[in-house]
Amino acid sequence: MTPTIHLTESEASSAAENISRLRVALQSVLFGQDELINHVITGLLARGHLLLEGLPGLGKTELVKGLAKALDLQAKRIQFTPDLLPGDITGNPMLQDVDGTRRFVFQPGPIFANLVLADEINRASPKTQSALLEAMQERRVTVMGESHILPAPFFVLATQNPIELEGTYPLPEAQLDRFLFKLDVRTNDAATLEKIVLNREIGEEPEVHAVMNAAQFNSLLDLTRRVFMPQPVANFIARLVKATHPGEPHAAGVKYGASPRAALALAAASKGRALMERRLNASFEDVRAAAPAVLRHRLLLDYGAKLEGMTPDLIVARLLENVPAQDKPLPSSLAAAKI
Amino acid sequence: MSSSNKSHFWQAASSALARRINLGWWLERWTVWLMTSALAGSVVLLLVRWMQPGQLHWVWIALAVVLSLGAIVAWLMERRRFESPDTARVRLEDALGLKTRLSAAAAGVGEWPAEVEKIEWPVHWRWQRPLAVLIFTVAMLLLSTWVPISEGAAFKKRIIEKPSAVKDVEQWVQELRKEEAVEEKSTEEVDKKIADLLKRPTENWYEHGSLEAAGNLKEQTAAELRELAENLADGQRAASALQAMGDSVPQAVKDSLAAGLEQAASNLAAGGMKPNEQLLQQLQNMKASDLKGMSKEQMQKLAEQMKKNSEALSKCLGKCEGFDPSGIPTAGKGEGKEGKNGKDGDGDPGRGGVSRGRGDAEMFFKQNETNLATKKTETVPAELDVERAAPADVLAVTDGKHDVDKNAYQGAKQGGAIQNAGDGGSAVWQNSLMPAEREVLKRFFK
Repeated sequence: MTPTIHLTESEASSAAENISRLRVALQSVLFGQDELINHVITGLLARGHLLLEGLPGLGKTELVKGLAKALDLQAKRIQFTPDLLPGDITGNPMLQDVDGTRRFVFQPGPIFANLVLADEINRASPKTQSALLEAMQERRVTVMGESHILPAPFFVLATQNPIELEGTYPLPEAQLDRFLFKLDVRTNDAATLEKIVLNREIGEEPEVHAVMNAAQFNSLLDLTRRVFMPQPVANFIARLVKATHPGEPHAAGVKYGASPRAALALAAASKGRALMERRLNASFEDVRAAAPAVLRHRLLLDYGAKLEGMTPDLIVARLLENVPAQDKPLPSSLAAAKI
Repeated sequence: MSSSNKSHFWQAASSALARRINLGWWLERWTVWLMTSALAGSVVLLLVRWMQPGQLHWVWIALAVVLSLGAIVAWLMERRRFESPDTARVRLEDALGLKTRLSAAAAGVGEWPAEVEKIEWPVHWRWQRPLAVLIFTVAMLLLSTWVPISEGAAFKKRIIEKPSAVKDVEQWVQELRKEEAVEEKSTEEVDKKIADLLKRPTENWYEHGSLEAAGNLKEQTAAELRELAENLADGQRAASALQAMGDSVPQAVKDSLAAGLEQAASNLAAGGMKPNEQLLQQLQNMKASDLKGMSKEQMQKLAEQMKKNSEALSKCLGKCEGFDPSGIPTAGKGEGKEGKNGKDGDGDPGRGGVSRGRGDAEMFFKQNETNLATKKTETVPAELDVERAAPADVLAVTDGKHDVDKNAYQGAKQGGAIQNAGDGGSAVWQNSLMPAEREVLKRFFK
């Protein structure tokens, strides 16, 4: 591993400014979803794929479209249906006349874009879903023994609907683990709805100006990697992920815990948040802020916990409450002060 | 504010926090030691106060040493739990919301945060436990020094009293020596016997054999003293009579008295307890033949010496505890005063004379007058033959309570008596029944 050159104050300031402009642009597309926007930006900075779960009509697609426009990236949308085939996503070889000879020429599918919106991903068959696996992880597609590199940056923003689960294929854990974040898109409050009514028209897309291009965004991603990860924070991430495993004191009800990939995701997300806040280093606060989005789809609860009404979010909240930044115990004559 | 100052400030803060936490760990261990030492110290204090009250300062010194040692041991044992300033810095930056800037700055990434006027420490003391232990410790130690405690009986010097018989004899010897009533050699003999008795281990003084020996010594000494007193009285009586006799008294009487005096002198010289040196010397020099040739003055002198010795003996025997003087003849005579009735004599009746008073002797044959006011009865003991009992024989004193045989036959008794004799026509069971029973009977006979 090559030694990391840490960020400078000026680099961090410049990056934070660009990110701030991106945030403002997204806020003009999606009203009242600041937390969701922050998480989306954090996920992108961490080079992660995002799984958005929410009811229809909450602006998921608009968010992705707005993101593509603001970043001046190529965006494509795939509506997942049960009869969708893997080739419909990755592309197919087509028999074509080339220089007087007939041969198969690869026709790239909709996945060849910077931003791919996989709408209602849980409606496609497992076969089609798994076609996304290599693309998401390796950032390339292999068809007929030939690998095709996906454009950089490459992000998959998948959505799934928590209702109407009849005839759907829930994503397997292995595929869920490929997503950096699982974000809950919550319904808007009345004030936000009022704002939407006053500023939007049906069928009319909001106007978004590009705040940066793909090259600038790629350099932003490089800067994110250079955010310093202090050893105590790395230790905290490790202990937090370890605490999700069954048998740990605060992981009652968990059937399967988070993987090491979750720890990497948490570290990357923490760096992304740190850069958003113009900091040169990740912190415990960044980890705590990113932990629910990173861990909630990676914790598999047992039936007992489900019957008791436990949710992954409750488990994560319990872990964050009980896993301290410093794991060394205090003597009984001293108590941790709440400042 | 320069970067080095900020660095120094936060590093000092981290070190201070580490010291605070480490002090807490040290206290946690040491308070256990303190409490244990206090408990043990209290027990030791109580024991020392019970055994050797004067040695308390050593306990305090030992306690101070133990506590100091405990402080070192606690430090050594808790070292593995001690926090370094780096570890404490993580607590500090997390609690103060510094977004890990201290750790980053320490790693050379970014600037140290600005100093703060007052640091809100991420830990605060919970003094209840250490304070409770301290109060408990002090209370225990103070209590163990204050609580009243008797000196240990096991460690007190045991004083074993001499047997009462020995003590009595010692007192007799002391009195006899003080009054010079007996020969010094005789008292030394008794002393020697007492010393022989006391030579045995003190724990054996009260064994049956020792007590019996002491009793024998007492009885023997008493018997010898009694014998001495009797011989002195006899001798004095004979000497007085010889000196007072006129020429008209038949020679046979004089010879008889002289023989009595000689016998008394011989007994005095040969007895276990001899009279004082002066009299003894005189008696030893005196031969039987000399008695007849003694002048009246010499006889009077002898009689006076015997009387003097006898009086000294009587005086000291009167002071002797546990000595029964009954049966010992007292020397002396009643002295009458001219013209009027003289004062009653102390001993024998007066010798008469033209200028004497009455000088009556006591009108009883015993040494002590019968106490008529007592409820006790005086009887002649069964072992004595009443017919031959002399007037001065010791009478037994018994409880005057009637000796009633309760089992003796008291005549025919009437059996099956009823509670109420009953008047004519009244029901004899009337008062014998319970109210409920009475009700039942009334209903039955209604």
